[in-house]
Amino acid sequence: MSAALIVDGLVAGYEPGTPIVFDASLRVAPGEIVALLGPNGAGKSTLIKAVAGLVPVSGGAASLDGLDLLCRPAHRRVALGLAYVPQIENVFATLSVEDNLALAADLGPREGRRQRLLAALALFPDIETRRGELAGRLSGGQRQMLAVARALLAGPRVLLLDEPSAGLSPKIVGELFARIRAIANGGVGVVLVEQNVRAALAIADRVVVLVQGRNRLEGTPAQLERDPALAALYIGRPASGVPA
Amino acid sequence: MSGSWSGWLAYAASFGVMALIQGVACLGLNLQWGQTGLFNVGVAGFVSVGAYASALLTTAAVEGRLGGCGLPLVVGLIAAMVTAGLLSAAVGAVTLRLRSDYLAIATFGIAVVVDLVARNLTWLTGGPLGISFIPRPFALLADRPLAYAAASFALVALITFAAYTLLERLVASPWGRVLRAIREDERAAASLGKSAAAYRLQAFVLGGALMGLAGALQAHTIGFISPENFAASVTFQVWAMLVVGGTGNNRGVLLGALLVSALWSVTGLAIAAGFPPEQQARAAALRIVLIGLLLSLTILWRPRGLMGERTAVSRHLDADD
Amino acid sequence: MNLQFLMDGLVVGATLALGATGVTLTYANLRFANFAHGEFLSWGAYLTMTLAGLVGGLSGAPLAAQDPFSIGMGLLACALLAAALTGVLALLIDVALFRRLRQRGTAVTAVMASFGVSMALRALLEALYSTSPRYFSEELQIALPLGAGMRATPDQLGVCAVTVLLAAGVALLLARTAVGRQMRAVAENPSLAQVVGIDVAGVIRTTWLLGGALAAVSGVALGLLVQVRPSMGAELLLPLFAAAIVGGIGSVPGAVVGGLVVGIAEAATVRFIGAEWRAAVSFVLLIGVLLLRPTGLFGRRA
Repeated sequence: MSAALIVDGLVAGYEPGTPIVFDASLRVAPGEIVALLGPNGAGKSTLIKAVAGLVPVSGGAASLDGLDLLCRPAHRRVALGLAYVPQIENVFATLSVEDNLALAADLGPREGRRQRLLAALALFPDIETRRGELAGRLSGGQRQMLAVARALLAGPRVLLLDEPSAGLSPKIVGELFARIRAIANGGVGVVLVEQNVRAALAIADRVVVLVQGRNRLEGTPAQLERDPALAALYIGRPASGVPA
Repeated sequence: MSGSWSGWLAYAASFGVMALIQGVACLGLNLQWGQTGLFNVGVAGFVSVGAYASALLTTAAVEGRLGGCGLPLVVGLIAAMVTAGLLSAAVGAVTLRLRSDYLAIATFGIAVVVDLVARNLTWLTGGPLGISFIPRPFALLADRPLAYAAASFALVALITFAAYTLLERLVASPWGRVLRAIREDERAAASLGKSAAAYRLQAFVLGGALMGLAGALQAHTIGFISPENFAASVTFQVWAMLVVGGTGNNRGVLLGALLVSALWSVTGLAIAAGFPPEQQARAAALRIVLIGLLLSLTILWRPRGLMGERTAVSRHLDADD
Repeated sequence: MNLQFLMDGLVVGATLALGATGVTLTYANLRFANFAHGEFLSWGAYLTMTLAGLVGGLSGAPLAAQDPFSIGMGLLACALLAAALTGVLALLIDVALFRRLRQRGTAVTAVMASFGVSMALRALLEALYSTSPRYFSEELQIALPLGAGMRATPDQLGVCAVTVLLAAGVALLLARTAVGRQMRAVAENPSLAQVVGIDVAGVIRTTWLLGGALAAVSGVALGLLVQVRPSMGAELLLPLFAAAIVGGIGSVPGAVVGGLVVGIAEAATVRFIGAEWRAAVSFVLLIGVLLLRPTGLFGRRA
């Protein structure tokens, strides 16, 4: 399987000269869910933010379907087929649910815009009934679903999700992860940054463990579940909901 | 030959007086913005209040206007600081807890209101004509320009030096460190809770008092004041001095005051020499354009000014982020 | 009681409304108080006047007035072009100065830079055109009786109509179009807007063009009803900020209502207290709103 998203030896951080990600690599094939795990502060969120274009990159390479990402501003990466859903503040609270989706639908071709918007809403019945309301009034789980629906509207090749389960009840996490699996089965590559290791291992095809901004372990969930190194990293596993 | 020399010296001394007076206002602004991050776009208003307060108390009685108490100069200067400080306390109490750009708009508004009061409350301020015959400290030397200018310069330099020394001590004191901590780190400010607000208010009031002192010095140097002396361009010049000299650095402030005043005087002389009288008002406007450009280019290319803050601290954090 | 002050207030409010709409949009999207916004009003008025002079000079006759107004289609066309040019001026200043400060993350410095820009822009007008007032038309207009003891000139009614139309147009643009949604999204969260795929820099360009153009129309209206002077915009800066903050930053209906509130409060002050205190009204309203309801009448964001 050839990779859609290729990240090689990425160096990134908010302040020049003080990187948080030192040397991280990632390969994501279409239809594949890659769980990006690691302890707090490992640089997982920073890595996908850098790929999305929100954190300055000072070294390495990143490409989507062979096209360089790093030379393009964040909004152009979306046009190439890279969608990113932040962990917090991932919807526009002062816009209606429908307007949140329309923002993404507007960016595609005019033709079929309405159909795409309705199709995205139909994927998530919970928010479909609240389409006229302000997104700020949605519950945490509904916001997460709205953010994923909006990301899907961009027609992504690869979807980057930053701790989608944070702060959600186990039941909602189950529903959300089932949707994510369905999205991947439709041919979208997914990078899932998670603190909720158990839930992530349950749906991931492959796992990459990041420690101190560097790749530490890599393999299938089955391989890593037996790996004492992973267990060691998660002794006293931190509560989810803390940005890494 | 000696006559022209003394003429130039007198000119230089009176230039120095005006530059230092604005330098005192700029020291006050540096305490507010440079040390504490409080944005004041109404400098002219605080300077004006100080000038009027001192003038009212020190002039001789005049028919139809309040004040005219004929009190000594030093009482006038203290009153100027107290009045401008009280105004700062009132403005600060209302606006310091708001976003920094709301503080900017509110202080801009205060300057507008002070200007209105100066123009319209004729029984207090003399209205558009202002107040004249304000006592000048060395009036006895008035017929000897060089001696008068030198004495004025010595007095203003002494007061400026006192203000500078006081501020340098304050900046180095624990009080000054708290101010910078509040400016640099919103979380630190929040953890200080109510006392952070108190520190902010103290800095704002002390800065405002220095602006009032500058206004009083100006009134007693020129001998008359009117609303025209405290137009928005005063605020603009004081800000230009701070930015060019170096925000956060009191020596930079004084350097900036000298440089911007020099630029102002030199361009003024050039306009007087180079333009026919009927064109001079329009040409004079170009000076403001020039200083505006200087201000903008400094902000862009040398954000710390000529002499940036000496203590190594990170740049101002954006209050919105 | 003579209600004429209400009519006067409405007319003043109408001229303020469009300027305040520009303030509210640029403030919401760029997150800094632009002290140079008032100058866009003045530049809009002077550019219109200069264009009208050029056209009149080329055609050999001054632009004709359209009865019952004191100006005609020719001047309106010049005003439209001047509005576009003012938008471009706002954009150029952003590219040269404000954008760089934003990129550095020092938005507070941008407020001070805008103060410098405002002084420079006004002084440039004084140098180019002198401080003496000018007029779009020398014609004297008869005020028409409107009932309840109120009167207004055709020009005043025309300005009110243009304001209503333009403000409704901007409100619709924000509520219903893709550009409007993008502007609202950038106002709330520029970083999220980026990763949604919105060209934030493009939205900011649109905001400047729109804000500058609305300011220019406001300036022409003011010039038509009062006079054209280099300081006209600077004197309106506080009322414009007051209108935008009273209405709630980011809200176009808020800016219009805020403009009317400020206009009527000013007119009431002139009628009942004295014309010399008019300029203090905005300050009092501003402080009142900041103390009681900092989000303004229509504001949502804290």
